[in-house]
Amino acid sequence: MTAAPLVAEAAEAILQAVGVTKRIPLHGRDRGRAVHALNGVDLTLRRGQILALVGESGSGKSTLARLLALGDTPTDGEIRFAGKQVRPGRRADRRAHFGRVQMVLQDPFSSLNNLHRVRYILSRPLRNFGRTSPAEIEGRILELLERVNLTPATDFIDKFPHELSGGQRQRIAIARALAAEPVVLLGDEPVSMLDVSIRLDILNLLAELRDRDGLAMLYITHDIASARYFADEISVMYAGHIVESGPAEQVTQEPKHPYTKLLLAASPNPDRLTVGTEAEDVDVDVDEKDLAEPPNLLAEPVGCPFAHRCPDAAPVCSATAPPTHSFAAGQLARCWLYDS
Amino acid sequence: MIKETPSPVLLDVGELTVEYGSGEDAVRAVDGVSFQLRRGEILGVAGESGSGKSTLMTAVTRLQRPPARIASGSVTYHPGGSGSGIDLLASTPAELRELRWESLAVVFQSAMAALNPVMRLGAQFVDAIRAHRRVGRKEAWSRAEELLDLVGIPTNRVRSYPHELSGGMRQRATIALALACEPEIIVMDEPTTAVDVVMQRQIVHRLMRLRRQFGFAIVFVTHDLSLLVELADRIMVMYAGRIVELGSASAIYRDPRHPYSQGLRDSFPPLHGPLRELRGIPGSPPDLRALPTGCAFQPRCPKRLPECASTRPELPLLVEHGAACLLQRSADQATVDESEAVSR
Repeated sequence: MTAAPLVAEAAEAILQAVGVTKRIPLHGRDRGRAVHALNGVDLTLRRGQILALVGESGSGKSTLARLLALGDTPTDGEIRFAGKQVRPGRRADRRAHFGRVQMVLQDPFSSLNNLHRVRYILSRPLRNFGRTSPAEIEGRILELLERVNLTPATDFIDKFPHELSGGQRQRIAIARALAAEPVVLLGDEPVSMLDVSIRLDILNLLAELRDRDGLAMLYITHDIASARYFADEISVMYAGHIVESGPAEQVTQEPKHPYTKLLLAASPNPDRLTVGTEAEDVDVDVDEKDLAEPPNLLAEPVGCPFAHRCPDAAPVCSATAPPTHSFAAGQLARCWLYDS
Repeated sequence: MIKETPSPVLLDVGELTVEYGSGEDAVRAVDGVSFQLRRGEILGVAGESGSGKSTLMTAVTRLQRPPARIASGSVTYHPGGSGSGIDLLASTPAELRELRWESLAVVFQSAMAALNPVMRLGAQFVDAIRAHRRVGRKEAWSRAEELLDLVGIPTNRVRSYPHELSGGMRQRATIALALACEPEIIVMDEPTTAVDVVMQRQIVHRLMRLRRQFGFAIVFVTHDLSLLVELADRIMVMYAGRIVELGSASAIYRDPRHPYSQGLRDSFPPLHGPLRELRGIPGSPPDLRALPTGCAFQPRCPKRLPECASTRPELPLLVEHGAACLLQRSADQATVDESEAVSR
């Protein structure tokens, strides 16, 4: 599996978020205030490509996925499918969208209904999206099970979720998403609840589906090493802003934004053993300053959201929003550092 | 980090077996596990869910609850690494109370559940401190502030309730709480799993510095082998309730000897360097109620031998780096044969 930065520009855009902003109003004592979950986010998913969305908890990754799946409506900006705006208020738009964009959630222990057998769980999307006649349903279910490598499929079709391991459940969740014959798969941390030894299995399965069916995929994760391995492109999110994006290899090997650099420096990296044995020597990148609290999402965003934690912060950073700079191979970073 | 003479042993666990339930239906979650914790070292315990790592830790700290039951084995604590030992399994609740916080502290994964939600942070420190030290309230409160400062929490947070802190702060607060009475041993069960990488790095960084300052030993339990390799002095890898490999962190990373450790290591995509397709470990984690015969890893093992299904490999004792694997035995045999051939 290799990243294909040049194909990136050629592939057709399927699902897009354009200037999406989401405010979530608060209640009770904080009535009148709002969480600024997303601020003018642009994101493009292309056919046959995997885009990883990387960021810490609370950065707005899942909110964006929910907006893309029409689980919620943006405060501002729009969601486009194949270039056309999707209006969440219109029933026909919603229905068509649900059939084309499917989600795989983080926790396969709570995303499957424990009271139903695999047969029922997988038959629902087949019936709901009406592309399969009742007589064909069983055959389609077996086919789906085989597609996610649950073989022999006849062993799995009548099982309850509790009879399956975590990895097998996540395969069922993927099969359920595939049942609607989507063109886009949104994975919200699809492997982070699974055992380490089976994570790669699931990622490889998703990559196979991308290659075979040309699915577009969003891979939400906080593990930037797996994003590098699995995705074609990476977008890094911080406090509801996309701060850097570009080809996976470019973003992980030549990060431009200070937050991306921090994220990479913080990720476990056993190869550091070869550099030095004292952890202190290599941890210089993550010093006291980073202990500053995560950003306050309640305040109206002014300037760069990362300014108060940034080692390279200048006065301009907390006053004015940084411009977007483009680098070679389509890498973008929103940072004042590159303003000449 | 690698010392010439091994430090004295603080904790000696011998052939410990923990079962859930009893009689015919008993499920053996920890099966004959032996290891030693030396003074001032970080011992990493790696394993997946169901490998018995948490069960082992609750048994060692005597925190296990029914239906978990220690079926056999020994846990001996040597205060200060001295020769005389305290048998933790035979200790009465009152004796255990004496040792907890004072000699041995535990940090759990979910900081929210470990802290009392209706008590101010400082009050929880004061409770722990005053249970073991004859100090006044005022002094205990200022000690609480000191401890919070150690882990980088502003001292004015001492009057906060747990819900007023961020997740990373809460986790750091539980670490500070574990340090309250300057114990010799801190057992940490997935202390950084619930926080994101930047916070994880900060916590680990703090921990290393505190260990240098106070010299306590840490048993660090996690499923994240890549983190352990950076952090720990020695690592033990668990699978299906048994230790399958034990060795120094760099040996486990560079030269893993058990096929399971190899698979685990190769399950983490590299951050730098060339990318190649990774396969993980085929199959699913074992069901402890119906373990395969012979080696528990054998059905998933890419290097399986015919005898793996019948012979259960044992972890070699008293070696720096050993794996419970038949392949290893034949490899050792081969080197022995070789040296014999050379000597002839």
